[in-house]
Amino acid sequence: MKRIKTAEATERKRYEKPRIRSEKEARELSFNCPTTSVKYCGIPFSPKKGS
Amino acid sequence: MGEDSLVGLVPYRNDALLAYRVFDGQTALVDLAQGTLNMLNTTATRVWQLVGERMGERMTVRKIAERICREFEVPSEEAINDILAVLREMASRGWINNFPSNKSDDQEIAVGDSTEIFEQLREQAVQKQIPLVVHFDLTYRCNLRCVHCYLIGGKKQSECSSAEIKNILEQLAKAGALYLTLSGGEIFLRKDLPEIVREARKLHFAVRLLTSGTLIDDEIVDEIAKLHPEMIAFSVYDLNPLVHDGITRKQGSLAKTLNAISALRERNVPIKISSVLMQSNIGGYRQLYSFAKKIGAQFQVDYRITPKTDGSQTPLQYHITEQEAKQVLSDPAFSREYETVDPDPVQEYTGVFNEIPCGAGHMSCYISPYGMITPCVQVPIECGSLREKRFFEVWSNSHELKAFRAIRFSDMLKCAKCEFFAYCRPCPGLNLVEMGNLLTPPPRVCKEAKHMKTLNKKRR
Repeated sequence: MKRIKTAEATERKRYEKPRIRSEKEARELSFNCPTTSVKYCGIPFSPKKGS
Repeated sequence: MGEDSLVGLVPYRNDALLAYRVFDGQTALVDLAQGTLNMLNTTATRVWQLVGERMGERMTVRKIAERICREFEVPSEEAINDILAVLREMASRGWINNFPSNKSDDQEIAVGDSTEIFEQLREQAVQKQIPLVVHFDLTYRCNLRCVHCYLIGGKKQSECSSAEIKNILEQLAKAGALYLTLSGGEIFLRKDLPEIVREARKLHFAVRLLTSGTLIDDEIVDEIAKLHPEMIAFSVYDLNPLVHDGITRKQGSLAKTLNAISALRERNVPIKISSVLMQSNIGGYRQLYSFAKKIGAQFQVDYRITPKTDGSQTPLQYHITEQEAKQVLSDPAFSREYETVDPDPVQEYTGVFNEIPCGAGHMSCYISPYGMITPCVQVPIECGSLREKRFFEVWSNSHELKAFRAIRFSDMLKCAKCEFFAYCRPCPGLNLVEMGNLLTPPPRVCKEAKHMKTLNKKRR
């Protein structure tokens, strides 16, 4: 016999505890093109971390 | 405050300091005050959405918990405890108001040093073709006459009006764009700039402005600072006015730029100093870097000068020599991401970025002042006009964009076989404007890659 799910059972999603992950904004460190930074193409040189 | 009273509170979002977008049920949130990128999982995203939802009245925590229990398989008590915990965390970070924080005043939120979230976000954006990053030039007009500028000026088309721009921004937000760079020309020549930035912030964009700062006065400083741009990047070529003003060909321009930087720093606006290195200012970048460091600004230099948009190679006469480029590349103050990788830098790129040259057309695009979409500011391939079509239509259906997206490293025959490939990041745009096709790199780029390999060996 076909099992009929209730509306509630089909709509409710699997629960995971609410969680927030964070990191420092590091767009330029990860991109080496200017679509995210300056208007000139090529590889932008940023100071090394901690220098 | 007891839990019973907490569930009766009505928290609300502190949107003024935040930029965010929901991707696949998760929220990417830029904290503009702290300079962090955050990822909220599905449940935290739902709580975040419900805090912002206004169905007549804003919701109490109790109502939010009821909705979460209705939508997820979770017992009520567990949901309430978890929701209170995540709301406390949000309050601690200053993301919501009218809810107690769990942080004492001197306690800092721990933030990781990795770039994992961003990597994941850009990978996801490429896979799902979401225009995460948009560069929008609002005007090509400029009050400076920089010697190396790639723009030709003199176009007689009418720029997009305020209303057109607002409409485009709405479409971009719907398409999933989060990072918006507004540039030009000189954007402050547009009297409606504050209005445009206000609209962009209302749509929860992380807004970055690129300017010379020469038209920024006290009144605009306050207006812009209140809108919390993610960053304002200033073009500064040298701290010597004779050198800087010589490049901009506008006497007094350095003084005005530095005044604007100072006024915005006083108002805690994140600043970046962007410099293009040329023969005339190659000697001053270290001093500029020290200045940036002193005022707490980010700093970036780039020596690659590109031809004009009409193909004219005249700006290239200002390019530094090969020897000078080596000097910059060898400067220990600067790094490229692969320098620390041992032994095979190419392995550092993961996922789809191992196959495609860059995110242009995949997760980012450029819009001209006349509403024309191209894959990147550096790639003048017209893909469709937003004066004729909706953004989504161009982004999804443009043949030009599809063709551009199809480019793989393996198509760049010279690069794919190159022994220095791991030390290079070929740029199709640079190839196009300098060599006339997307797949062949200019010889000097290859020489730089070769030099980087030598340098990398020396540094190990």
